[in-house]
Amino acid sequence: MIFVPLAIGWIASLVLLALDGRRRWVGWLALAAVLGMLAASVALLWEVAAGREPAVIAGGWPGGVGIRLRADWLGIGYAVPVLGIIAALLLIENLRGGFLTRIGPALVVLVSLGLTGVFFTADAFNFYVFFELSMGSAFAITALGTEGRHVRVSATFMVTNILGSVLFLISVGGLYHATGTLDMPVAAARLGVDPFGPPVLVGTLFLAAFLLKLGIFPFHFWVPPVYGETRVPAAALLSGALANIGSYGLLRFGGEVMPDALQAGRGLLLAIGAATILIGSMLAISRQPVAEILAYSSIAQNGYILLALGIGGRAGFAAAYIYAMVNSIGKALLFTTAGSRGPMIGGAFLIGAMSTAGLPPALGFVGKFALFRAAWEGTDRWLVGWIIGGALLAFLYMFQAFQQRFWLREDETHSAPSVRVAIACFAVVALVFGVWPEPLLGAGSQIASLLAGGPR
Amino acid sequence: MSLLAQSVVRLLFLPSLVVATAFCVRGSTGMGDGFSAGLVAAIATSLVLLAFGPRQARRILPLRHAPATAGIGLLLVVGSAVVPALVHGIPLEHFPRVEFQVVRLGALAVNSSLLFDAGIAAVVAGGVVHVLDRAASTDGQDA
Amino acid sequence: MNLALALCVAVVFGAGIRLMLDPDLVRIAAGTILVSNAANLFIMSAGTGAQAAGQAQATTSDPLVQALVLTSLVITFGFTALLFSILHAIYRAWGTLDSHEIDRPE
Repeated sequence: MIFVPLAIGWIASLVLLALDGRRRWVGWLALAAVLGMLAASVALLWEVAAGREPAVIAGGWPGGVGIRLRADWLGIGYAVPVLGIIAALLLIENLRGGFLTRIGPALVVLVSLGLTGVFFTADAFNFYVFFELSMGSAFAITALGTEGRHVRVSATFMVTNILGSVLFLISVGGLYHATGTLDMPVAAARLGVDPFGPPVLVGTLFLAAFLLKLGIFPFHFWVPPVYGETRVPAAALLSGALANIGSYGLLRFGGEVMPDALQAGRGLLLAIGAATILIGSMLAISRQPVAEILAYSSIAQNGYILLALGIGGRAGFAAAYIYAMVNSIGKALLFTTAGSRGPMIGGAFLIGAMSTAGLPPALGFVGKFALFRAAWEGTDRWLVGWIIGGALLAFLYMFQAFQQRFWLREDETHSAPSVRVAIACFAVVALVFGVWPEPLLGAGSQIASLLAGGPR
Repeated sequence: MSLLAQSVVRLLFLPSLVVATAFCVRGSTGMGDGFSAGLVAAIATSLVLLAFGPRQARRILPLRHAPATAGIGLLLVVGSAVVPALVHGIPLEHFPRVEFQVVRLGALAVNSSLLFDAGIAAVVAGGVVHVLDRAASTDGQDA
Repeated sequence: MNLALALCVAVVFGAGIRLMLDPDLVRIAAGTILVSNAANLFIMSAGTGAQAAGQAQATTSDPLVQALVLTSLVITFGFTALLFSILHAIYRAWGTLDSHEIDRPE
């Protein structure tokens, strides 16, 4: 049952690799595949909500020997929204005229397959394999640009992220050294409670790998060129879907596998998160092209996730998850509107901008509020001031971006009406979840219980 | 390239393929597996490409079928993962299962891992040869 | 994990990072290969078996580790191929593989 989304993804990518992606129907086939994976994940959500935890061990091996795939609240909580975002991006791309290359659709399905595998696996090395599958496909997607600068930033993207993956691989190796197992729950049980032994070294490496993936200070340098100069749909995919590996990894490896190391590193996480918010927001204010502003904004927003993790505990974990989801949806929306033109696009960008700044009724308000509450209930009240400051800066640069993009420029050609309608629907979805955040909050609290070990 | 290189490569090619097959098949009980089999086959093919040049190599070997080989390999690999999942619910299950007798072809045990390794060998060999072929042809030497 | 293996991992990793800091793109690619292989070597060192078997000297090695390293090598190999294809495309677009030239603002 749990293998169904992965099976759909594999079969679909195989079929798509054999077809020519420049034909219109192939792009729609890719959308159908991602929707199939989404539907299967929603069915799994039903199971998880009923209290069961669907799991399977590949190869039928006994527990502890084989690779275990399992769906728990954290995995499902990431899989369903991320697949939904990818489906929306595919829809908009298809309406915009389809893919320009043979393997475009296949690559997007491979990215979805990799992400779904990352969210559903309970084996650390299997995590690495699926992680690399989605990263490799993302590298290829960014390299599909037509201009020279696309290929240049693709090389930057690739080299920095390969380094991140190597750091992650070393940490998985370290995990195996320290515990003799790769299964995440078993490793969590075997790691001693001494927070300053080998686990802290391994934990630091994990942290470094995921910080690089998320683009957080001091590893943020690759984000502005890559997000800013790659083709806009690719940037939307990167920030909306792929960046979630970073936050998921921090929640999974920090929250589940090495909670003591996470506790020990609270101060560091808070410091890095705060610095990232400051640097990202300040640099965003001084930029010109909208894509670069959005890139720096991504850096800053990811800093908030780190703040939430630093706060820790039930409220902190829930806030981290909610903020990560809210940010992905918002960034995907923003990058997509940055690449389109027309009357309704401005409104959609406005909603995305409000979400980033944390203004109600946009989605971002839910995230900011969860973060507020976590900071207020925690021991570091100064964080509330920092969060408010960051929100003000976000309001500033978002307003600047909106002005630059939609007010001062005379719109030359409008995008096709169907594209505008699709983007408008995307924006409406973001609004709806801002007004009715129950599903997101519910998932967040379940995840927090899972990770912090409290009562449901 | 020189005549010496060409004659050596001509002699080496088929034995390399035999070695690759041996790697693929011995993988379950000894050293080797599908990946090294594919690599050895790919190296042998790239030697042919280097010694004879792209144009002549394409006449000697069916290089244009490389992507199709990779595709068939992928089909085998994904099939061994997905088909057991469709039938039993468990992906990548080993066939034949423990209760059945091992099917042998001489001294070779035929089972699903053999199919899987053959698929990987096909993917690696086909993929590498395709990349090398395309790289060789974009340098203006050949159409 | 004995000292020789640890030193080996350190040297390879250091050499790889040094190469990655070079302006020439081909050296950066070679650096990534070295760095990835250092990681593989590190994982292999987990399989020397001494601590797992509880003996002072290792007589068997852990087969799981070998499978891990094999998978990791395949992934590294694929990414290296992709990286070189991208470098090839950069060469065709710019005519040079020096990152200072390429990054020069246009």
